[in-house]
Amino acid sequence: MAQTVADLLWEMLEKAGVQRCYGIVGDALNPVIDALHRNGNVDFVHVRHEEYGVFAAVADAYFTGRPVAVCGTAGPGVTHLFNGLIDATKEGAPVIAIAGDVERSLIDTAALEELNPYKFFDTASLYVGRIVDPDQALGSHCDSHNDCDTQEGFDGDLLAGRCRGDRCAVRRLCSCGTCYPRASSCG
Amino acid sequence: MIETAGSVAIFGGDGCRAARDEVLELASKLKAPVGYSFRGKQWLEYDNPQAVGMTGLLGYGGAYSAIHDAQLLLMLGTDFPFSEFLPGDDVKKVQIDREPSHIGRRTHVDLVGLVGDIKSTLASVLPKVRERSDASFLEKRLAETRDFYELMNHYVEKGPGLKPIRPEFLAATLCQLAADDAMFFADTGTPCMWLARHIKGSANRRLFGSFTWASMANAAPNAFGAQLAFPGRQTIALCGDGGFTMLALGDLLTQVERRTQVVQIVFNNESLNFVNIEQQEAGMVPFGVNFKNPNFARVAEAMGAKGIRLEEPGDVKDALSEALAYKDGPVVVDAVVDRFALSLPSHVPLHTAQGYTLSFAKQVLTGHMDSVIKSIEHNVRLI
Repeated sequence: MAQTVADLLWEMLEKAGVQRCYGIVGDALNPVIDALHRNGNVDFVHVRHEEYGVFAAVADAYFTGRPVAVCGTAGPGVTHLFNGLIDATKEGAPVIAIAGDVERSLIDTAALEELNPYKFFDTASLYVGRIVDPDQALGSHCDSHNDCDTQEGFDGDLLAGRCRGDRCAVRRLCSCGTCYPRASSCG
Repeated sequence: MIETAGSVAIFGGDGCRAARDEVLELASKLKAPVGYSFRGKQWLEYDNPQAVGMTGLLGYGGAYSAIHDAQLLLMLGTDFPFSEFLPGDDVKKVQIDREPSHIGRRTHVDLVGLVGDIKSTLASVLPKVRERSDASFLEKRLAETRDFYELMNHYVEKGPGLKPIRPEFLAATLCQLAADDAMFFADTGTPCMWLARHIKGSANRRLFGSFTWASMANAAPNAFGAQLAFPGRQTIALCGDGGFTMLALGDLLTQVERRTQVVQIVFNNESLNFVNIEQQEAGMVPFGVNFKNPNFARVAEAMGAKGIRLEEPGDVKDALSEALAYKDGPVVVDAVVDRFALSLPSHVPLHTAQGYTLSFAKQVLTGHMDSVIKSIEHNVRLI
């Protein structure tokens, strides 16, 4: 099977030091979870509530200094992440949220489970990216690595990348090698 | 500036994490009492003969008077958010923080705000600082700290004979029994008080909570994540009953499936106790803070976890020992504690005292005399 963008996503996160992803699976996230399953090196921690998973990720990331992933699927799954993501930002814990999204054709149409990620994540994250095209995966670097705090890596890096199906994009890690990924995707 | 100030106090936060040695050396040279935020406590308190506790709502010890009575205050790596517990313009201040937006954000910094890492900044300052001989300012604050500990320990010492169980006694006993490298997590609310005041840190212990966002229900999931990151290391969540039923209960099933060694101690007082205190502090009759709980030990057992119901003060030590020794999965200790245990800060602002008086008066007028009497009975030493 050809490598999908979602495969690249986990490869990228794994290289960045991600060992665990806490969350709940579901529709928009299924291709991402399928890729995680294929990857085999990231432990998927299935929780019963996304917020629980984020608080777990906060302590995990804070004490290990490594980035930790969390995930929730489109709409309500994503909104359940929110409180924990603000906590991660405030505590300076590097948590990366992978948020499901509606299909590209449904963006901004008031579709079921559709929400604007830029508005929604604005107060809870240092970076928000919405990924809708595989071309976004090509060679895009962390464009803000000068802002990254390299001290013990406790800077709070949060982001939400979004995608559709198995054709979504992923960004490469900053090549400075010391900061956490600034973008990711799903699907 | 440091040279010309008659007395110097230090207030440190999480930014001192990697700079403990430098902060302590500076404090030693200056004979400066060292106070800290909750996030700074775990780096600056243990094995520090000049530690004087915390300021703020959770405050204890001589920290409040140390930072208010000093001629110069050094604020190191802290964004402590409660401005009313920080001194105003009558104390000169120097603030060092690696984050520029923290400088002067909580209190006016009239002398110097330096943007930099605490460790390297202090390392360059230390050789230039003259060693002082006069320790009178420090001694006074240390004496206050000792006095406050004595007050704090009243309910610890009397704990074995007091029912319902005093939360102070429960936390202090836990502190004695826990491993040297235990990780402690506290729900926002009164569990933070017992963590701050009765759990002693060490070089290897870790204390964590939702210290900056102050969300409910963080402790159990925090502890779960920490246990996955450090399997087998003793991991203890001090849960409020509000937080435990908000978020911890459903995912206890996740812990059972993974057999994570997390000890959850539920401070079962059937109330949102911190809010209860806040409302009384504001002169209100407590409202919307009481609820009913099931027997959480039996709930936990039904979910496949180990459940321990704790009602008798005489059982505290054995129950906690049993919980800490359990290696086969999560434990829930359902500790029925005194809901009337008040926890007043070491510095009580005038409006707080007035608020309590007003609240007690209102409660008497509205037929809640019982709870007034209980509050007073249960806190004679603190009032």
